[in-house]
Amino acid sequence: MKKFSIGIMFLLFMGVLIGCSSSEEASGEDGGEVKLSLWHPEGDTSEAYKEIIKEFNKEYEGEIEAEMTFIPRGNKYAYEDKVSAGATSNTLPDLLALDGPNVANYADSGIIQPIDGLVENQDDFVDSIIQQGTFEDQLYTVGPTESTVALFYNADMLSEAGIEPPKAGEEAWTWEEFYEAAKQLTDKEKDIYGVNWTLDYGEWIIYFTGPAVWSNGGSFISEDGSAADGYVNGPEAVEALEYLQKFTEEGLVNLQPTPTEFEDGKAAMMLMGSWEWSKLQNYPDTEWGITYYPKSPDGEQVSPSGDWNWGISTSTQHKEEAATLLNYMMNKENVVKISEVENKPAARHSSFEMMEEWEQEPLNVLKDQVLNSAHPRPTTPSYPVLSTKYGQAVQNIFLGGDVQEELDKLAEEVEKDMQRKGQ
Amino acid sequence: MEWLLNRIQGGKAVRLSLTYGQQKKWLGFLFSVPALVLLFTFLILPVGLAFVYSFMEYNMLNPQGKTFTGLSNYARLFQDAIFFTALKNTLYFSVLVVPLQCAVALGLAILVNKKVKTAVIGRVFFFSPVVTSMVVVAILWTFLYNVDSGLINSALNFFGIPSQPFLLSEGQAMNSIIFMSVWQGAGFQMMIFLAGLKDVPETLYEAADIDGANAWQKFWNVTLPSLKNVTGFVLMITTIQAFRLFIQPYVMTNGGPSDSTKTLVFILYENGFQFRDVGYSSAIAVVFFLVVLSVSLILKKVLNQ
Repeated sequence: MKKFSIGIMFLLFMGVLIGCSSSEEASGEDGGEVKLSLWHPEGDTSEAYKEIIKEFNKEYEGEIEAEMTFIPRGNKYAYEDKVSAGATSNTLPDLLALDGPNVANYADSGIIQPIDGLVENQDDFVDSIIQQGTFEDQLYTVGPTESTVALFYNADMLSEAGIEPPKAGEEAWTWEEFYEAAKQLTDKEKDIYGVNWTLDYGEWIIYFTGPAVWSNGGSFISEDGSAADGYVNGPEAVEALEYLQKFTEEGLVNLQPTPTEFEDGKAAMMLMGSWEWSKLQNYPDTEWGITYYPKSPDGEQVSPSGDWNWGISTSTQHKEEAATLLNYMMNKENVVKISEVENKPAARHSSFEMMEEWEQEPLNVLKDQVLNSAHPRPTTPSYPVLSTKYGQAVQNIFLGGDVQEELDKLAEEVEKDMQRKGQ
Repeated sequence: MEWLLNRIQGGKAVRLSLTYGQQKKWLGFLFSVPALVLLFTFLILPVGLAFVYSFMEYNMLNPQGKTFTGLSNYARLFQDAIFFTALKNTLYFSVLVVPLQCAVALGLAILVNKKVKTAVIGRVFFFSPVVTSMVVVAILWTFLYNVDSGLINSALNFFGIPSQPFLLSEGQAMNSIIFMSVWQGAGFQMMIFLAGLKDVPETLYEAADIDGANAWQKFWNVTLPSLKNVTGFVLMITTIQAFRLFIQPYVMTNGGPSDSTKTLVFILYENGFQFRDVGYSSAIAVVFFLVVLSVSLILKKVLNQ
């Protein structure tokens, strides 16, 4: 009897192990109802998405049932790690959210598929979101929201110093004006820094320093995406980073700031993402405004762009239904809903017009940047190497490293990766 | 157990005409099956796969497209300057952390090996960093090491010493991590030493007292020799642990400044998960395995002498 039960236990155990590896594709066909799975990073939008999915399931009851899983992200790459693991174990969902710069890498690896012709009202999306979702002339992703980086300022401090921030894109500060303002506003005795910028180790660095490079006429890679040497370490990029290095070298920026340095009145200005304005509402004592990302003396005013997108995975069995769901999530009203909970610019013109707050100061600056000066990050399968190593190089530059040397090293690494990917 | 064996002996198993010894063997095997299955699935299989993948070009996002490329990953590895930097950093960390951490742990163990109430509080106090998540500890120490507002620099300034850059300096970042790691980890080795100390017979100390030995002589001639086996074990696990350094640089410095805190496991993670280059990452893992294995074998040989 005992031996028998041991045998049973052993079988059960093996069953569990085998069960773990078998796929879960079986559902859908016989019940008539198609089941769709979605992944999205956990965050402010979770509630909005939950609501949208609930409404969708009600509307398509008996036909499609969607389920969205929210995955923690952190300030690094936890969500991306999960997607990588999903691709390896063939457990990707039907629809997955991905950060803009990953589009090329995911498309090139064949985990998301082209959605040309499947997106309704494609013309209504802002240019930058379509550019971001396009790889090798095919559209792979669309997203509900956009983002940008602008210069937040402490209104009291600026007026005290007699500094008037620009009100229109054409009048945006040049590098020199921005530098002078930062220098004037820095007060070492009172521990007040001229500018605050975050130095986390994820995607942020390439995102927030990108406009300096682009505005100066530089770029990270060649236009066809086949070369980095001579671009990321080209004279324009070097000049841009030498300019930013001045801020850290002269102590106009705190290299290890507290998360609320600007809010606490310990920094007069802040180069920060568009999402930050809603957090500033919690500090009613600080009078703040927003002005444009400063431009290179000889260049255009440029701002970064890009946000989370939705792509349809290649492993889905229900592309048509996935597209239906995608269009539902991206309809005018839902885009407004998602944008509003996240306080982000909407990625559709018609939705953006419905959001009146963005017509007025100070948010109009963000809207203006999204519509008129947005620049996507480079699309290349080598982007993960570029972004990570660029972040590390800029870290070293801000700590006093030689700009040309650091960028040369970076270019070499990216070139090597491009050659490997090109094989 | 015996009851079970008897039952089987008198029951079905007899029909299989096994001897008692054979039955015992089979039963032993059966009992170990769950553990063996787990061991195989989660330990032996991944190691074996890493070895196989290290000879492949394998993009994590495209597992179907993996191809054998022979030794190319290894060839690339031995031309990769960052790999050697990481190897050097890992060795530097281990060489400093292992003796330091063991010495601190032994010191703490002796300190709290008293039969008074405060010693118990001390044990809890010194052990608490060990049970705290390393990520949490690393974040806290990042604040402590802050140039402008960190507690450590405030303390230094109080004594008239100028602020140090700590994590922002190429020269100090790794040492800062070492200091913090010793603080975090020593409590664990302290517990093992403490168990060892409890086993040292009281009579030896009494004999030493009669011979007129002072405290230092007692430590050197009684305590240390009695702890020989424990010390060997502690050195071994601390070394292996030290080689696996990852969380601290990942959270506190991101491998910087100028790669000064990049370790083998850090570049393994970076290549595998961020760059999704499973083949290359596996090659690093295999080399890492060989390095740890050889260091452990050498250490074992030295300790046995």
